[in-house]
Amino acid sequence: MPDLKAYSQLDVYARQAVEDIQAAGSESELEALRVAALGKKGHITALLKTIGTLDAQLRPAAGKKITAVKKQIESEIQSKRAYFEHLEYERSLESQRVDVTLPARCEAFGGPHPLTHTLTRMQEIFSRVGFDVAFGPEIEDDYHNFEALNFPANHPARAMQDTFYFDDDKLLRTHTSPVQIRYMKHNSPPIRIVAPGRVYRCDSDVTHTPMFHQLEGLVVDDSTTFADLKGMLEYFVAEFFEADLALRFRPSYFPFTEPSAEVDISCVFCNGDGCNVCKKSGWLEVLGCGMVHPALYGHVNIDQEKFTGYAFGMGVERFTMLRYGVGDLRLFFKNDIDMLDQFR
Amino acid sequence: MLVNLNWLRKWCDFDLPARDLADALTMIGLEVQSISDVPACDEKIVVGQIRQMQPIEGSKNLNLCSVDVNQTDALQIVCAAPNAKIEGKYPVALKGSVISGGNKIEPVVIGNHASDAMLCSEAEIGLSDVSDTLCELDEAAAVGISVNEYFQLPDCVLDIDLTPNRGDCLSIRGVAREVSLAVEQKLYSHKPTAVEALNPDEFPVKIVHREDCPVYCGRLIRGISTDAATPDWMRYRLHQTGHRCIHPIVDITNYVMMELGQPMHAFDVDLMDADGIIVRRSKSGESLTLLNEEKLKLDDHCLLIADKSGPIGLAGVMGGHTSGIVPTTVNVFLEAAFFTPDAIRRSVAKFAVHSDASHRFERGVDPMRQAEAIERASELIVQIAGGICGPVQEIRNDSLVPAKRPCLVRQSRVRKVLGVDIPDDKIESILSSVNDMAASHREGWEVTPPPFRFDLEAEHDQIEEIARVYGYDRIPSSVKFDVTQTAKSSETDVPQSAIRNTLHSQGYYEAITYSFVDPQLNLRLHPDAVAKPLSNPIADNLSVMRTMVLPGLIGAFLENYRRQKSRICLYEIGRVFLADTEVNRLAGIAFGEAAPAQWAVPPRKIDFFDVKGHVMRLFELTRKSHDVKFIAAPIQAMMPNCSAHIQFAGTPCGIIGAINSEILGDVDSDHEVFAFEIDVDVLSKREFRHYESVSQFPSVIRDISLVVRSELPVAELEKAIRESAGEFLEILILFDVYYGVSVDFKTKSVAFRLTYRSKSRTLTDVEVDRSIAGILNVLDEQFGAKLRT
Repeated sequence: MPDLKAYSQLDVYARQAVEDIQAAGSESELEALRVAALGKKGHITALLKTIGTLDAQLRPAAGKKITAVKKQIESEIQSKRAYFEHLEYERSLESQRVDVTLPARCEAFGGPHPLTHTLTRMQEIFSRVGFDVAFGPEIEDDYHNFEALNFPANHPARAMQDTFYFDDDKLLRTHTSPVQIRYMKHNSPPIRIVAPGRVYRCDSDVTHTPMFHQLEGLVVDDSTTFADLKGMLEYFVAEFFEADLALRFRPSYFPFTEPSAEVDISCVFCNGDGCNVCKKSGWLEVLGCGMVHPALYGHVNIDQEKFTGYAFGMGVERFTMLRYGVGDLRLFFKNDIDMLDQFR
Repeated sequence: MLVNLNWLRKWCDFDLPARDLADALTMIGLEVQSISDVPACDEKIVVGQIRQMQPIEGSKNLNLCSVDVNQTDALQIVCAAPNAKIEGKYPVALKGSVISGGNKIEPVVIGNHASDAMLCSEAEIGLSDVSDTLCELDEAAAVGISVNEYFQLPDCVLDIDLTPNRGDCLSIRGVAREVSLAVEQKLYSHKPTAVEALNPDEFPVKIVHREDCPVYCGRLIRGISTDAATPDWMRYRLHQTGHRCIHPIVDITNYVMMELGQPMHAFDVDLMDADGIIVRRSKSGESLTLLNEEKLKLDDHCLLIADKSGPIGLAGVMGGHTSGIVPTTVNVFLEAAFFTPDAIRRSVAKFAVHSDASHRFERGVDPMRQAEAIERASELIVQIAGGICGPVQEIRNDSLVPAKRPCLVRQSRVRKVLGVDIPDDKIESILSSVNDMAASHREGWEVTPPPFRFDLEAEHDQIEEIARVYGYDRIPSSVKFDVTQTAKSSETDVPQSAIRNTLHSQGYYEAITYSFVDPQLNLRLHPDAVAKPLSNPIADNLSVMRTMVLPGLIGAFLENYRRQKSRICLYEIGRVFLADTEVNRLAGIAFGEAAPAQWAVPPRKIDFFDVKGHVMRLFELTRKSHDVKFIAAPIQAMMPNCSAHIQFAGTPCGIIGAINSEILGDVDSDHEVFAFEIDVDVLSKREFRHYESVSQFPSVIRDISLVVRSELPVAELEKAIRESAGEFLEILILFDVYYGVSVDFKTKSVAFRLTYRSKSRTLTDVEVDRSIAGILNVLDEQFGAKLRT
């Protein structure tokens, strides 16, 4: 027999069921409520099974009613379940929260030597105005290091350069200038090169190391003048120091250039006001330069009437010390990682 | 060279503050390195003379002096100086004066005696550091005049750093010539008063090697006083220009050298053979002891001053110790010669002896002014030490004197070299102020340089003169270049920066070490190489040229190791010096922690495979890393169980391994240090590649795990797999190696993952299985490799 009373109390049941579902404190409680209502032996399932026993006239209305209650309970369970899932998700997010302040995973650092860094910058500045890079041997002969550069034998100018010798008349180049001869021998004007590299002088004290680095420059064409030399070095210094520094060209002497000049820049530490680094003069001597001496052209078969050129040579250590405020030249060859790390 | 301005002013009248003069000289090419002031004294320090002096009873060394300062009354001064003498003249600091150092002088009472003023030392008037004796003034000093007037204070001393081409500036007169050019002021000429020859005696002089000594002047002076003293004005000038005072005659020769630039020598003729002087080259086997007691063994080329008995001086460099001026000298022979720069450079190069004289002769002295110097020195000797002069003897071979030829200076060339239009009249005025003669010429000017300018020969030398006198700063800068013009480069070049950056990103710092290394270390690392030895090394452990970069790098490593760095990864790129060539090498050294200490990565030491990976990254730059082979081989520098040759495209190009612990000395033997060294030029080119289409079809993956003999190099297995897999094997990865599969460790298990893919279709399992079966067959045949079960 159909439980007519149950039908009549369906609204009450539904109200109670919804209330219970909403009050459920856990997924398992919710599941128990679902089983009680919609499970195989649940109240609604049971009612649905008895519909067939009702009067044919009552059946549609009763069926509709039960179905509606079933849907309502299902939907309540569904949203309650979603609520629990969301709660669970929140909980799991909380438990797996990334501490973004933890240090990153990292690999070891490395970096270039400060002298390489400077040489690279120098080459890049000159490469922008069309200079190629040329190299020469470090073990040189007297001819390329001195004779072809117009140093006569026994000349006091040679004494300015304490030379390392080998037994067989070879020597360690004292400057990068021999590259001028080697390059001009095999190339015709227009010539526009820089030659970086190691050079050696037999001298070791607080301000000298027996090995150091130079960057040589050479320009030869049919219209190069001393005025062009000044313009080029002004460009270079402005680019290198990223500042408008005053340059001072002083007459000087190198056997392989004439006219020759030493170039001072206004002191980068005191702006030319005078400090200990510039010995109160306001000037720092940074490089030597001049117009290629005609005697060199004779050695390399370049017409000295038609062509003129200029050359310059600068100390890479000197520029690095000035640019970064390194006080002691010898630090460059100690290769202390703490020092190197500052230039990475 | 030191030059004091008051002396300089006697030769060129300039009215400039010292700093401005120094700048002007610097900008004309005479670099002034420093400026030292010689300050004026207090005007109330005057010349005084001790008239009476008596010891103070009961005191050890105090004297009570009565001192005349040309005032109404003599002053009473208590003085303790040991050299205070009656009639002696000394600086007196009067009441109220301030002495050097700042003390103010006031009357005091010493013992029971009033002391009105103070007798001064040289330190107290600021002339030198001598403070324990009084400053003794000349007998001729005028009593009462101020010390400033007496010494002509204040003064100023410039230290000029002369370039070696400007020997003509090694004197007051020479610097004055430059001052005159720089400030456009008149240069005074001082012609010495000729001293009459009251004595007909000559001292015989014979020049054997005239080509070394084209001009020789001399003069005999007899009967000089042995009591003579160098006068204060001369002492002052010599002191300020850096000369020690020795003997009036020597001081005078130094003074004349400093004034005129002509080195001089004075001989005591009584200590020489009467047959006279012979100027000749030495003969091998002769020897000579110099004034400074240095003994020289002579060869066939040194120019000597000799007499019949043998060498008595190294010409133009230094006298011998037997013929020099001594306190008893009364008869003197003066020498002023022109020795050629070559002759003097030979001696200087051979013996490395330097003197003020050789410094000047090497750079060239004026060959026309020897007689002038003799006259100037005679004038001073007679004035200061008396004596009777003989005639000036002069032996000249003008044909051997370097001649100054006329030179054409073309206006067009001046412009072509300097890049500035200097007005003709300006050029002409510069040329005529520098040269003896400058005449107009169709193309410019014809000039004849003066004999003392050894640096002026050709047109370009004159252009330099024009530039420096005109002023480098007045030549405008020209910017003809285009700042976007860039040197050419190819896409197939691997720039060195890429190699460096690859290493930097793998945790290597770049080191730069000396190219000369310890011969022992180089030999141990590279026993089959001959390292070139330097003839004049700076130290024993820096005496041969490296044949590997590693020796220096090991030094840099040890330096850091001693500083307890937990990770030391360094590299260096540089030349090594082999028998006849220089090769660019890259070496790396790696030790310690694989990564910085951190929470998310367990700590681990760098091992061989880290370093091999670093090297492989470098070869990746060439895009041909598949052409690199590591071949196990014993290498002296490395541990026998971890060392390999590196081959690239079949050519040996480097080594890698763990550095032999014996070489590392005091490094903890548990600490493995890895290193590699490769010819860096093999990395300089990169393969150019065209685009290859990407397969749109799925890949098939198979893993195989094999058991093989444990000593079998895995590379051989890989090679066999690649060769037998067929065209569709895309990727081969070794993903596991496990030693000790069998009980006795004679086998190992290696596992590969093979990824197959075709560009044109989907592969079937059947064909992949067929490939795998083929591989297994080959591996079994070649290596006895079995599939692991």
